[in-house]
Amino acid sequence: MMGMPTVQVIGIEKRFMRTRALDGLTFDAGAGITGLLGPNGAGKTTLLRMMATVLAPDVGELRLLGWDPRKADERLAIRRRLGYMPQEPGFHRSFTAFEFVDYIAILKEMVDRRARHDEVRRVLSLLGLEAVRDRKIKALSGGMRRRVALGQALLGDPDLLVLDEPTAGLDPEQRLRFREIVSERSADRTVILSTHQTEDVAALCPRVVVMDEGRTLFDGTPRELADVARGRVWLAGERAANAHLSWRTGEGMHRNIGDAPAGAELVQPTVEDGYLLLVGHRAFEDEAA
Amino acid sequence: MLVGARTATLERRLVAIPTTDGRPRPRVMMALARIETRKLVLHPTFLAGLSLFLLVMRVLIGNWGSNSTAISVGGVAVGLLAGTLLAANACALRARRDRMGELFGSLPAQPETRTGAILLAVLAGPVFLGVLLAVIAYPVMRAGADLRPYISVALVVQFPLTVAAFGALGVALARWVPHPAAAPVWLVAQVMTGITWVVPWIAPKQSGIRMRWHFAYLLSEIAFCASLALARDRRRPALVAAAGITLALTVTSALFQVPPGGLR
Repeated sequence: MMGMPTVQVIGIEKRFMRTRALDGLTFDAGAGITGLLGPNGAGKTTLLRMMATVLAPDVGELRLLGWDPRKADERLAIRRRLGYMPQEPGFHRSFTAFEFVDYIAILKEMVDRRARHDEVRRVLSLLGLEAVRDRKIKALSGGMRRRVALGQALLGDPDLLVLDEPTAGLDPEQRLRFREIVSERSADRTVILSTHQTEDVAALCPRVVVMDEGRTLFDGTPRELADVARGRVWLAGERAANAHLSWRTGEGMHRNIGDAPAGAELVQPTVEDGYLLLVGHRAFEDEAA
Repeated sequence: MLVGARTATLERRLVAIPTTDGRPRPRVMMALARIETRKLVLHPTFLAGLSLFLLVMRVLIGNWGSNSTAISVGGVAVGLLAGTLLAANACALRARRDRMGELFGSLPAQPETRTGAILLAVLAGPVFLGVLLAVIAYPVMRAGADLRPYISVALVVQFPLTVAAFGALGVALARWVPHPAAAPVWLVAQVMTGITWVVPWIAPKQSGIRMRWHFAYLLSEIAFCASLALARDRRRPALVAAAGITLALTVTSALFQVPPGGLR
């Protein structure tokens, strides 16, 4: 555990008609970056929406920064210390990047014009967007828009940063810059990061939670997640019959994950191997469905 | 994959955003209103309406006929009024159109802060332009001898008030009928159904309109649309009461502004 928990999720359930999005989920998180991994439909976005106070659980308790988001005054206190980047952030396309972030800054109650503009310039500069700050959002590339969305979340240096797939659509350089920015802020802040990028989790997160079907499948460090696959990843000239998952690598060898046969050429497992071993079967089930 | 897509779709439909309590902070609303004013007066439909207004005025001056005076004097502003209604409506629909609900729901400012800011923009932007244009138009129209009898302070004051009424109507429509077609349909219905005198309009004295009732009508219409728009975000008893009272005033003054025997 990394210090006092600033996020406490206790037995949360959420249904959308017949679909159970969260099924008694429990975990907590303190200062630092907590990575959420899981296949589509695992409930990550639902959980993050709850942490962003835009969705209420049906059952269970949620405490954010020590407050209860069900109570209106405490919800307001949370929102004043929250930075949220939704999975599909909307944009006012006719606004420039500066105008958009400025608009959000006003909605974050930054009313002093000079200080607000300084803060907007700071986050745009942080994300390398100074050159395009006066360009309309509709004219920006997908990666630049993601950075604008991240910029609004960073306004005011929030105590709780909730990021839903922030690196989707970013090129490798931008992803590295993102890692740099987020890791700098994680020393005494709580960052909840949902992603499909296991490399981001391995590179950034001291802790990772793997979710599936609204439940926690794994909760530990990235190294522990990789260790789930220890002794179960091997290279072979062809796809092994007893492998759960197998793919041909760039070197022409097959990387197999599953129950390794005797004498197999075992390799060091990665976070991705551990993750795939936990939830990889879902890809085939969903395809079959 | 399919399960994920289905869940995402369901969530989009079912997200219920709990709002925060407390009243909107005036300084937040004023700061937003500055941006909204700029967006409103630079909106293409507002600029198109303004251009049409200037064009109609230019054409009318020098080609003034004594017939259909009432329609012509009021009709000068058709473009400006339509442009204001459509631009205000588009600005108020922006958050919905751009799917900003989720992000806005996580921010401390209440939804009525944004609605209030657009209403302030409706008062500030077009009204300022309305006043400016009226100031420019007044001496121009006075220069035309045929027009002189129709010019009055009452007529000039009606310009910004009617512009504001149309703008507030656009915002209220966006909050209650959040569809991009609603405002154009309303506008066409207003022009085509012959109910011109029970909607905000600019009426010269010669039309026989009872001017005090007409001003009361314009002001209560603005107040009604504003309270109606704000009540959509949160139904505070005070706002609902204000909407009820101003509706009664609007209907009463709409009826009393027309003299017995109708308008000329």
